[in-house]
Amino acid sequence: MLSPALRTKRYIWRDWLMSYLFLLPALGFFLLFVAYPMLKGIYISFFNHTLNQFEFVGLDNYKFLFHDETFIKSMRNTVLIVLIAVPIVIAFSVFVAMTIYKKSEWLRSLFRGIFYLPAVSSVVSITVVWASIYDPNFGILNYITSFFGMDPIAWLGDPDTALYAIILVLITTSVGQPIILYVASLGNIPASYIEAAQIDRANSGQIFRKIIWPMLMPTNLYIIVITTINSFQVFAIIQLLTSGGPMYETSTVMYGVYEKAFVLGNFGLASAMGVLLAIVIGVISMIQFKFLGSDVEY
Amino acid sequence: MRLNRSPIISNIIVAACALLFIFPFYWIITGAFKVQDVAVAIPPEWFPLEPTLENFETLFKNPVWRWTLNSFIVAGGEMVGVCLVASMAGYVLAKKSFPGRVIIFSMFVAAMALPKQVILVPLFTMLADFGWIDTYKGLILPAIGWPFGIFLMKQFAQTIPGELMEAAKIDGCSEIRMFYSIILPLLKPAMGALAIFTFINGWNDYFSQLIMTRSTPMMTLPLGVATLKGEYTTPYGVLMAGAAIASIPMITIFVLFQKAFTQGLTMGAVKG
Amino acid sequence: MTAIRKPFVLGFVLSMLIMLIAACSSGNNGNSEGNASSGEKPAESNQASETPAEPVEITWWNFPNYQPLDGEVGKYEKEIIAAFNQQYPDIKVNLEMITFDGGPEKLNIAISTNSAPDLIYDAPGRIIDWAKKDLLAPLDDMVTDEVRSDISEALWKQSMVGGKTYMYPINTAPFMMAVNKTVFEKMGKLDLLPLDRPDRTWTFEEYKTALQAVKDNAPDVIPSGFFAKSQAGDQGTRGYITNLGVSRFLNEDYSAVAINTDQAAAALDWIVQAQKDGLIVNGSASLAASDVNDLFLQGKLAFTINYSAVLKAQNKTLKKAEFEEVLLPFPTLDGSEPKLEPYLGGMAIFNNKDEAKIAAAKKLIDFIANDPEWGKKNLIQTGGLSARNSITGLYEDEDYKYSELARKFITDPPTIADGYAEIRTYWFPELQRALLGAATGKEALDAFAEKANEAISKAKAAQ
Repeated sequence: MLSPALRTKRYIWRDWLMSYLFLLPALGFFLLFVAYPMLKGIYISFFNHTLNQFEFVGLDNYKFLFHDETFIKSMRNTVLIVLIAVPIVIAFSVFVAMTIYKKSEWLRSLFRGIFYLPAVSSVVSITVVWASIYDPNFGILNYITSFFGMDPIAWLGDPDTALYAIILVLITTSVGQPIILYVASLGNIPASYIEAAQIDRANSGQIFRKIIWPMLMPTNLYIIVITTINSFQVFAIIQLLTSGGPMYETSTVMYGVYEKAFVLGNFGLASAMGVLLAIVIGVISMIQFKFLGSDVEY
Repeated sequence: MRLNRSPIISNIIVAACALLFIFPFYWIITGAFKVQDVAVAIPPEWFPLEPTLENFETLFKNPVWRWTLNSFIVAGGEMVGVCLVASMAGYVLAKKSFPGRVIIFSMFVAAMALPKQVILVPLFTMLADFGWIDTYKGLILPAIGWPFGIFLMKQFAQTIPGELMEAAKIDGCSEIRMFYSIILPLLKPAMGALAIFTFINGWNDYFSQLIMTRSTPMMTLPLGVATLKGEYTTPYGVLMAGAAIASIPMITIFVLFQKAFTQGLTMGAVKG
Repeated sequence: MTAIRKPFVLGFVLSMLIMLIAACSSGNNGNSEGNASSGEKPAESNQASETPAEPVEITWWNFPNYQPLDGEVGKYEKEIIAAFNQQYPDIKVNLEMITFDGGPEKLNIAISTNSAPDLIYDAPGRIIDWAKKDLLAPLDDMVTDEVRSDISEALWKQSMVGGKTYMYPINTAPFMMAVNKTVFEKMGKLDLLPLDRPDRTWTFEEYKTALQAVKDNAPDVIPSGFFAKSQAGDQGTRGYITNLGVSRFLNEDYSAVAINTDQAAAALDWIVQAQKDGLIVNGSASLAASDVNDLFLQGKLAFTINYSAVLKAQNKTLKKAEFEEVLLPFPTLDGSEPKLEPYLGGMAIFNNKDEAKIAAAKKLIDFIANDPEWGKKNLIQTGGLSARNSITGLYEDEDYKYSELARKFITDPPTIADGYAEIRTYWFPELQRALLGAATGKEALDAFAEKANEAISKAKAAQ
């Protein structure tokens, strides 16, 4: 007979080993196809790596980027997109969810489905449609605004509107999942809480602030993190609608990575941009986790 | 009482927005049946007055069925792989404690922030060394390592009550059997959501597929449709026809499994 | 220990099972095996013997240079290969169709990872860049004296680097403008177009008058197009401004930018003003070359500035609006002869360090360009003219005859300049700045010159 202490110890060992085995496939795929290429990407960022060159240059790529106007502008646009898109996605999704969550099951499903449509349709076709909507000469948007006596606007060609036009498309493709989640969380708030508040003559604004919003907090964190990462990585919409123009007003770091690597064949510089972007996303995600309370238990 | 029924004005706004969201999709479907100059006419032709199958005829002169099959194999393969791997990993990360757990999980979470374009070149080099370019495994396997699935499953698994496992253990249940007969059924709704998620992502992952395929028969549907584009012109009608065909499988899947998807997502991300 | 073994084995089996499932799904991909071995490890097949009878496998990546046969991409190429294999049954050709959309990106990745194809049909813009980076095999030994003397110096200049031939020139056509003739017919203003002149040359002033006439008489039609969204089609904006401003884009020896003259700046300023006046399409800063041509094909644009006989042929199926389009040279400020950049298509061989493959690829190039039966057929399928001066009269079409005549206006394009790939990334953003009023024409062109000159000297230093 083993002593209870030894048995526990042995049991713990078994448990650990079991856990590692369960993790093995995930870890294997991850290390091979994500972590290793990622480390190699960092490694490449210290090289002048073009189609026919591979030469160590130390921090030159990074130094270049810190003085490159285009890169700085792209970084600014990237942060701007996140700062604008994320709050709007949250606000819009909460608004839609608040409006539909008490509707019949059939209506709720219908609306959830509709708002999820842009996320499932191929991004290539979505952008073809939006390009025709925004078209400066024959676009539907200018056709509509002309009824209000507005002059035609080159929505994607005007530096004042281009970035916002992109953000609007991004938002339409991002709200599907948040709405589904908010509808579900709202459905989980016990009706008695709200009724009690109504008896206390709280107005709807107060009820929202004091009862509903706090109950949504765990959902918020998840949605904010996911939407932030998605917004940071927006790429196809920009490539297909503006190619980063006009005057780099819609260029993002992600687009710059693509342009430097795959159009110009400068893989070293592109890797350095990617590393900097990953650092920025990482820092912002950490801040979000910290300030929004950690529902993600480590 | 006010909160039980939303104000009329909100209803109107949401309905208007819904129309706005349907519109692009409606435009794709109708555009597929319009001839080129009508597809881009102003004032717009809201409904194809003289519908044509011409675009589909042009499209189907190419191996569209093969491309569709490829898309299903790739998206489906990723779906199966991610669900299996992520549910195993998610379960132990949520429910077990062992040395390195926090580090491993942090590593997965951190990698979610990683822009995919950065790893594409090193990944391509590696797959080329394996001889995996232009093969299904080259298209499918790298996506299985993507950490989002693990993150999601871990969140789901946390909602499984620990008492269940304790009870099973006292009954002398082995780990494998417990995972198979207790944990997996509980994770089912979550897996449904993750499955739809990965399937959609796999279907739409245009850029990776562009880089990792070479021959025409190995192209996926979105890639194949893109080959029909000219350098200085865009055949809108054919693109729309291709886009419509590429979207239909996903819309169908979403509509059929919406309930499972919603439930699954909700379980993990929404607590209480 | 025994307690550990069971779960261990089970876990191992489970993870193997997953690998297996994933790997199995790649079972039925028959044709990729060959590519994998031919593309990825060129060095290993080095010992393939020198005897030509030994079977060789080569890979040919093709942009849609040929009009698709019956709407099927790659079908025409397959017919070429089948005909080629009747002569050379031992050379297996793996065809892979790439797109103008993502193809260049794919090529960049393939080259940088030593898995480039053996053969490519492209234009000097990329081919010369690869040749300068020493990635291509020289083709001099396959250029006969007859061919050498039958192709003009301007075209050879675009096919060679350091005295060696890296691109085998095949089809060509001068890049120019096109006009929707029907619009002018309906207005009864055909006399505003230089169509009665055999060489169709005309002045900036005549062009302006024509634009104004469209604006005044055909309110549904936009007079002219311009675009600056991306680098695609930039030979159109280059040709337009250099001719309107009678200036060269780069100087004679490609060592510096020459476009920043006062005349060219005035031309650019005029474009900006013309856009405000409704003579040039609105929002051109965000339009791509393809958007402008699409407008033209829909009959909504009177003039498009990036056109050629090749494009006209390729657009036949896309043109659904009923109108007649006619090729025109760019107008010049002083009525002097226009200078037209040629479209030039040709084939190049990547030096994958395998002599047998290089030799086989040369045979395919020779077949495509010079086979008595297929040579002409192939040219017609591209819609282009022959790069060779002696091969004419391929088509029975007025505009083709004009294109052949307009070959006398062909100028040396900047595509062979050192650092060209980088130079062109500075061109469209500066056009955007001018179009959006952030800079005057002169400021924009000067800023372009400064960046591009730096790129040229950098590229020269790297050599």
